[in-house]
Amino acid sequence: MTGFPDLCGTAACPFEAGRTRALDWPVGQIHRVAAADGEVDETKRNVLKLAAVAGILGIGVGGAIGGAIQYAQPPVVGLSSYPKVQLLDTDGSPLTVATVESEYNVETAELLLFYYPLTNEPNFLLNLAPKSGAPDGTGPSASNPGYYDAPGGIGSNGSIVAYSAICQHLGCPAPSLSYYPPGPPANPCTSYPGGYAFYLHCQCHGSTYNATNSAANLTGPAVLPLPQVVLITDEPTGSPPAYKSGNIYAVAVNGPPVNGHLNTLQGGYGVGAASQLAKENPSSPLACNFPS
Amino acid sequence: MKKWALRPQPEFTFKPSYWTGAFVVNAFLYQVVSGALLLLYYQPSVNGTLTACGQTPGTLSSAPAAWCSTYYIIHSVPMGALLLSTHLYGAYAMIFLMFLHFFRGYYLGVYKSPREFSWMVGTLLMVFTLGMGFTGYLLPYTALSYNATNVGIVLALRLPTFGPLLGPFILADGTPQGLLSRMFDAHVLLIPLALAALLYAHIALFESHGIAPPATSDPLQRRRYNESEDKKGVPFMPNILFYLTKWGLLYTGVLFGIAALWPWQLSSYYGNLAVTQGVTEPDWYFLWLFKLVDFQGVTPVIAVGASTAILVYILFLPFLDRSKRTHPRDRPFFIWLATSLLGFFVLMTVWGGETPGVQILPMQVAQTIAPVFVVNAVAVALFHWRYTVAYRRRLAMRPYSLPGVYGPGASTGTPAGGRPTAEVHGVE
Repeated sequence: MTGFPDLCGTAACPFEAGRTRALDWPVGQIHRVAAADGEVDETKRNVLKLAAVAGILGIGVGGAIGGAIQYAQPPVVGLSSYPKVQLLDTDGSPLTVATVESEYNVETAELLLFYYPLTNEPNFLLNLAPKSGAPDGTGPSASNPGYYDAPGGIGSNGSIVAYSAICQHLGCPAPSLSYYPPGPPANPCTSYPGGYAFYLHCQCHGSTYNATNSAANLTGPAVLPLPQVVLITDEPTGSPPAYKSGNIYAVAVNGPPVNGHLNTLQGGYGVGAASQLAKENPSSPLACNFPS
Repeated sequence: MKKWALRPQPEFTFKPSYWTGAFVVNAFLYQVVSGALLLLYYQPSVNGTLTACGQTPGTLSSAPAAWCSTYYIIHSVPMGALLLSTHLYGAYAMIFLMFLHFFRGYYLGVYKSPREFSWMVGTLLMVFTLGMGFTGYLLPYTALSYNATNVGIVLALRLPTFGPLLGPFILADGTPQGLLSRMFDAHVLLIPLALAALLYAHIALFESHGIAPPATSDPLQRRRYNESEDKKGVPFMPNILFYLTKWGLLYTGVLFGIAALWPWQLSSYYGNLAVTQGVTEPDWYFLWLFKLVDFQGVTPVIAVGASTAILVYILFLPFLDRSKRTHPRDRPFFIWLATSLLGFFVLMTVWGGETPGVQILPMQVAQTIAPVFVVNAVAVALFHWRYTVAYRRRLAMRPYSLPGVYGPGASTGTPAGGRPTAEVHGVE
């Protein structure tokens, strides 16, 4: 490009000194036109300006993104320790061992649910013993439910237990996860996974848990056991204490975190001082088609 | 002055199969309008509300406001039940039409040059549309919707590394209210904005390329329409607009008819233990994934990994199927994959609906799914032999007196497809 006016004298343009013709590209002219002080290196100044602007913009944008990421993660709501929560019967009266042993028994498939320790963590209350009859000592089976004292069980037979009602596979809750007592008429199934007669089965993806052994996993796809709620009563006897009668309380949860929570105590609001039982029917029909 | 109208289209496109994308846009617009109307009454809260939902008006409800306001829309808002039902069925229709649009494009090879980027944007649109379905499922706050949403979230949380990173963004403070707020925000603001932006890009790319010509075996077939051809096309205003309005009105009419005949029933709200709730399951478009985790040995990582692999395959399909031919006849391998994918989805959906909660052993999985792929392979192979080999044989026997008609090589003694005559005779 010729004929472009050379606006820069040799004295004003130290880095262009000696040039006799105009630059081929007018951008260079703009630098020189804007130059106020002949001693200043405009190119260096512009590079620094650009770096400063880019830096400020970068810090601003980065800070905004970082802030947004922080903003989108509020502190998790929860409890700091397990509360002692009294269980109430469906009518609101305190739940006693005597009530559970006379009214809720192994022969019914009716689900008894209560929330503990958070209002979005339902649990089963199970009584793994028949309504009447002495322990026969032969262990449970489909034809002879007998009685069973489960680990951590309370009551006169040690058969009252509570497990999380949320499946450890993908979090399907009751009644998708249901308790099936052994034998007809409540349970038409005649064969059980692993030969266990008391089990919890999830209709979402078929996971099965052994109700008589701390809800250990029997069949997949779940691998972990269900969390177990620790139950006590207000009438402990002996040492270590046995809880054979009295009002029932929930005091802690053992096992893995309740599914969907990073920690059983976090991710919801506490149930308060008392938690009331609710009855629910299991989903029907009962699923008997277990993989063997 | 710039014209607001879209490009004219060639006359041969005025058949429904050329407008599947427009039908999806139509369904999307209906969702925006019906959703905006539902938003006038919906309350995204899990706390009790004074809105009457089966109780004496003016008493604080024990049911969550989200469920209660949904109940109110159905029972008290004029035409509310119809509006809510059309929003749900409209979502089903949009997802179904989206799949139709996707498979139509796949079979006819419209993703080939120059439309690769348009295809990739479309794949992202598909993901976000399914995201709309997922986030909208929670909003009525029934026990079923909460529990099913929880299954999807636990599936994500169970992923190593990603799960704990994603968790706080989905679960917020971990309370049901936190989750509902996040899902509500995503359903009514974030995902619709992303959908609108991607839809703009998708349509702008379509405007730039023009409609994909009919599928052909000719690799030198013209792949785009230019400005000069626009003058011969049917103008947008008023012809295309009227054409699409006709289809849009038909769509809306059918949607209202179905919603009026089979209005959606609201089940019990989440947190109500006293009422027996159904078995947890997702809507039909996620049933295949729900079934996939039934399979013995399929952990969340494998299930999410398999879905991601399918997605990545679809996303990069234009760069995997590199031949210049668009006719299904000339792409046996990719047609086999498409049909197998379709068969897999249909099979898994039906299977998931038929046998919820039955764990499936690997042998049974293989025995059920393998036939889909094998039968398709046999069918595609037979089809390929019958139509492609026979077609090329016929071409080889024809005199090359019609240059340009049977392919670019016709005048130089090579049949369509560039295969030398000798080789074709060798096949015989």
